[in-house]
Formats: sequence, structure tokens, C-alpha cells
Amino acid sequence: MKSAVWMICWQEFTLNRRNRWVLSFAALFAMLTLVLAYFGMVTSGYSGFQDFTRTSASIINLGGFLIPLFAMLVGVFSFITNQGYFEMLATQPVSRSKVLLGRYLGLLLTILAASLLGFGLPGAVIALVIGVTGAQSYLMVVVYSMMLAMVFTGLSVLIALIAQRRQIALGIALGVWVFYELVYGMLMLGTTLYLSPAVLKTVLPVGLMGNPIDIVRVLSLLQVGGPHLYGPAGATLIKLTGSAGLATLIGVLGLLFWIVVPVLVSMKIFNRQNL
Amino acid sequence: MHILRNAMLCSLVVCMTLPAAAAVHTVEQGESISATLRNVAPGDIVRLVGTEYRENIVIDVPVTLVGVNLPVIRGGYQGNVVHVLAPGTEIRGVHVSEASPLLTKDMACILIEADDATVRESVVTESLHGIYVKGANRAVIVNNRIEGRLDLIEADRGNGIHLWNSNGNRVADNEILNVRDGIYFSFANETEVARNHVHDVRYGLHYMYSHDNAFYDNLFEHNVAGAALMYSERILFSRNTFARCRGYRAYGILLQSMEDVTATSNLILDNSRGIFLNNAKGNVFEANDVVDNDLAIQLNGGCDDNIFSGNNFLDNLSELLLDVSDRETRWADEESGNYWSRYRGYDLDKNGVGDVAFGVQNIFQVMESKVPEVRFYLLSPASEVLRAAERALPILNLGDVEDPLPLMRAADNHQVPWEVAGDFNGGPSPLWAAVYIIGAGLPLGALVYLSRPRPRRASGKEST
Repeated sequence: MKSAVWMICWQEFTLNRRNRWVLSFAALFAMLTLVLAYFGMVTSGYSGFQDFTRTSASIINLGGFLIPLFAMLVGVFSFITNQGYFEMLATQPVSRSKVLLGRYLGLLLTILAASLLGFGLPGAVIALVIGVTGAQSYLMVVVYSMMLAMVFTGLSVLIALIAQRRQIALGIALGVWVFYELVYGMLMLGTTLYLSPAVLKTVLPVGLMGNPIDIVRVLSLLQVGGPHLYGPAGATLIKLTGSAGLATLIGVLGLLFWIVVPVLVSMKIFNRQNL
Repeated sequence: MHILRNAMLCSLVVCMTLPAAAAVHTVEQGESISATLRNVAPGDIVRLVGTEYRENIVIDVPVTLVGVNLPVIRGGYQGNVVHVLAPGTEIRGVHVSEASPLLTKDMACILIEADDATVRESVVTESLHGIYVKGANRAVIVNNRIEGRLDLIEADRGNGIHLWNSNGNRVADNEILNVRDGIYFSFANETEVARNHVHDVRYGLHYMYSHDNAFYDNLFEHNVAGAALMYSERILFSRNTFARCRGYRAYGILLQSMEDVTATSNLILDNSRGIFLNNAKGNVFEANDVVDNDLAIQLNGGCDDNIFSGNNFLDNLSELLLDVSDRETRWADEESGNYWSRYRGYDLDKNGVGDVAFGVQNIFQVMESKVPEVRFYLLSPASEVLRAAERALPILNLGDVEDPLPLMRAADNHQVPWEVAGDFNGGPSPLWAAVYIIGAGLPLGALVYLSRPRPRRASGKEST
């Protein structure tokens, strides 16, 4: 007895897996991260944990760059291209929320499957060079990056539903991607020109929560480099939250918020939408 | 043991031929060392052949106390365990343990209050201070192992070797761990420290009001600070390794109110902060390798006339943090500056020195100096874009700290002890590697397997 959500999810996955882009992305991403890991860890010449921090940071950044883009593009394409199929599903005796959830999960399955290899191969290199400690810290980096994929898959669904037309949806998706990738960070750095250091002490750490890519980067670096990697800023973070563990927990809750809210909003829109 | 015994016999023979023949007293298991010490003459040898002695001893006649097979003297956590009051006393091959934990009374496993004492090939455990040289000069402390008490919090622990009002000592080839400060100098001048391995302590070396000192070839790792030099003048150090000091208050080398320090050919590797200078004047850092630190150098206020030249700054996450603007530090001598792995200049006249000055702080670090929380954007795309913009449009250059003569290639600081740094990693873990490969490969494998062209059934189902 399979639930409707699962059936729709699997159907979505089946449709997406035929998409040549998915496999191409998986291959490209894995190749890039492997090159990063190899040059960062094997040929760097220093046997330091710092190599691990730096390599992880590169992989985190590459993931933070490509995964949102990939999730957005595949999401928008899949949702808008198969509009007819979507409408057909909506006529079935299944609630619209379940239809949407199923499609979201199927999409997510595709994106996670395609990006896991890109995170797994560097993990193997790290395990071989650094050993157990490094491999365990890096596992959390993978988990956070997967959460990032969930966030942007949800956002892509939301964008597709709002925009309806492919060109507009793609435009918005790219805009949102550029905004979170770059503009948000620049804006936050720009605040230093206008606000006093005393205010910035809270504004900058709290502002991190507004950008899932920033949350993932900071959480991952906290994991691999420890809070003291951030120097006095790390101390501020601990003071603000209580402990490194709590800071991590808050970050993860923030990410969960970013995962759940776009999906919920999408459901609401889809429930009211006149197809 | 035969060698030791033969050596003993030889020295016995030599002694016998001397006018005042040194007697050898043997203390068996169950006998009292203190009782034996009451019947010795200066120059005698006291051999401990038992395995354990439970007493606190005072050596007030200059003798040589020799342990056979490392016997242990236990103080039962009362007072000082071995108290040396006779100049020229030698302690060799003895395990001294269980000093009183009263820090206010500066209790030690071995307390030396006489000149020219020697402690060698010995072991100190359950110590407060391990070896405390109090107001005595020319102590020789070599080849010992000193362990502090892990059951005490750091503030309650003593120092490994504590030198107070004591000059001309030699401390070499010791291993010191789990104490507060590895070697603590207070009003201790002209002391040489060489080839020690100090780890898991607060400060590896801690100088207070101690002048004209030198330390060479030591390895300091996993401490709060590799070496903390404070309120002292004229300290020279070379070929030391300061590695893996990690934490909020962790430093490779810390200089507080120091003058005329010369540091050459040291390796400063993988610390939260490599070099920290506060109110330090006229110090020279030359031909050191500063590698893989979160922050290479932090300069706080009151620093004046310090010079960094011929150093290699390799792969540090940030180069320099200032708390006030700094124009007094010199980043090059007459001929050349330092090598910075982040330098992207060119060298048209091929003299090995870059033609464009190196801004030691990039725009991101300048911002970070003003607002520490900017560091949350460390390694972020936004900070990379800022750096790229700064390179493209030098008008953005906000930092006024520059190395006028940056080296194009890393200086060949061949004395830097890279071989000592070793490999600190836990060793490869093929199991985890396999987990990663399988865990990541399976989903993709499934994807590839499912997406292979399938005739009939599947296509018929999906064409709807």
C-alpha cells in the first residue's frame, strides 16, 4: 500500500532522472570537488588541519555556488515544463498539498542523488589523509549542504508556482540565486559603513540567518575549524547564543525554517491557484 | 644496567684514587633515605636500589643521589618531596612523585635552593611545581620528564620547571606536559633552554622580568601559547616549533611589553594566532616560517620599531590584525621584505623582489580590524569579490601597512625545523573512505541505473 505522496514522488523522480542535465551536473560537480580535495589535501605539502579547513571551505563554497543554482534550474524546469502533467495530477482524488509535496520530494531526491557524489568523493580523500576526526566533521558539512539543497528546491517550487511562465520563473530563480550568493553578503558587509561596531556585533551574526547559504557556510566552518576560527567574532557568537552547540542548534533551526516555509507557502498558493 | 654499573664502578675507582675517597651508600627497599643522608660526607654517592621510598627528603650535604632502575620517592602529597639545600648536589635516574598541592606555598617535587645542582634522567609525576629552582644559580636540568596533574584545573596546577631569582641555568632535552606553564622564568637571567618538548600546558615558556635569555630547538605544541614572553629584554630564540595552539586565547608566540627580542628560523604552524605583539619595542623577526595559522600576526597598541624580514608567510587565513593604525612596524630591511603566499605582484627587473608593494592587510582584513564580526563572512563569495575588486581598483586600498619589498619566491630558511613538526593527523581511515564512496555512489548508481533506456513497460507507463 503506497501512499499518494510516495507515488507522486517516485513518478517525479522517474521523470527527472531522464533529464541529461542531472547526470551531467553530478559528473561535473563530483569532478570539481575531487580536484579541490586532491589539490587541497594531497599535494599541498603541509600536514596541517588547516588544509582540511581550507579544503572544506572551498568545497562548501563550491557547493554553495552550484547546488542552489542546480536546484533552482532543475526545479523550475521540471515544474513548468510538465505543466500538463501537473494539472492532470490535480484532477486525481488526492489533495493538492499531497500532490505538491510528492513533486517536491521527487525533485529533492533527484537533486540529492546528483550532488551526493560530489560531496562523497572529497570525504573519501579527507578520510584517507586526515583520518577519523576529519571524516566525522566533514560528514556534518555534507549534511548541511544537503539541507541547503532542500532550501533551494523548496524555493524553486515556490518561484515556479508564482511565476507560472518559464522565462519569468527562470529570471526570478537566477535573480534569487545571485541575491543570496553575492548581493546579500555585500549588503551585510556594506552595513559596516553605516552602523556602529556595537550595533554590528548583533546585526552581523543575526543577519546570517537571513541567508541560508551563509548559515550553511558558517555552520560548516564551525564544524571543521571550531568557533575560534572566527576569532573575537566567534566569542561574540558564543556570548550571543550561550555555547557553540547552541549556536549550531540555532543555525540548524534557521535552516529548517528555510526548508519548511517555502514548501508550506507553495502548498497554500497551489491550493488556491486556479489551474 | 651493566653499563651504568660499570660506569659507577669506574667512577668509584676514580674516586678511590682521589685523596678524599667518596663512599657509596646503598639504600635498600624498606630502608630510609633520610637516615642514610644523616651519615654521608660531601661527595658521597647514595644509591637507591629499592623500588619505592615513601618519605620527604632533605639533601643538606652535597651528594649524588642515583636511582637504579628508576625507583620512586613518594611524598604522600605532603610538603616538598626532595629538598636540595647543598650546592653541587646531583640527582640522577630517580622518579619523584606526590608533592603537596598547596600552590600558595609553592610546593614542588624537587625544590632546589642551592647553586650548581643537577637533575638528570629523572621523572617527576603528581607534581605541583615539578622542579623549582628558588634563588639558586647554575642549575642543570636535563633529560627529565615532568608530568603535571590532570585532575587539577589549570589554575591550581604548578609549573613544570619554575625558576625564581635564579641565573645561568641550563634546561635541555626535557619533556614537560599537563602543567600550567612548561618552564616559568621569574627574575631568571642568562638561562639556556634547548631541545625540550613541551605540550598540553598553558604557556610552553613563560618569561617574566627575565633578561638575556635564549632558547633553541624546542618543540611546543597543543598549548595555550607556545611561548609567552613578558616584561623582559634581550631574549633570543631560534629553530623552535610553535604548533597547534588552538582556542580563543591561543597564540604561537606572545610578546607582552618586550624589548630587543630576536627570533630567527622558527616554525609557527597552525595556531589560532601565530604571533601576538602588545606594547613590544625593537624586536626582530627574521627568517621564520609562519604557516597555516588562522591569523599570522596581531599587533596591538604600543608597538614600536619592530621589524619583520625574510620570513615566509604561507597560507594563513588572514595576515594581520591591528587594533590601532600602525605605521611604526617595518616589513622589510634594506634589501628585502618577506614572502607572502597571497602576493600577486610581478618582478620585471628579475631581482627576486616584487615591483609592487604588498598590502599586508586586504580590504576584508581592514574591515575585520574595525568590526570583528565581519569575520563571519570569511571565505565567503562576497569577501572574495571585495578582494578581487580591491586588486582591480587599487583606489580601494584602505590598509596603510605594506611590505615595500615582497619576495617573489619563498625564502630558503633551511634552518627552520620542518622535520620536527611531523604529521599530527590521526592516520588514514580506509573504513570512512569506503563509507563515503559507497554512501555517495549508491544514489548516483541508482540514478544511472534507472535512467538507462528501457523499452516497452516503463515508456508505456510514462507516456501518459
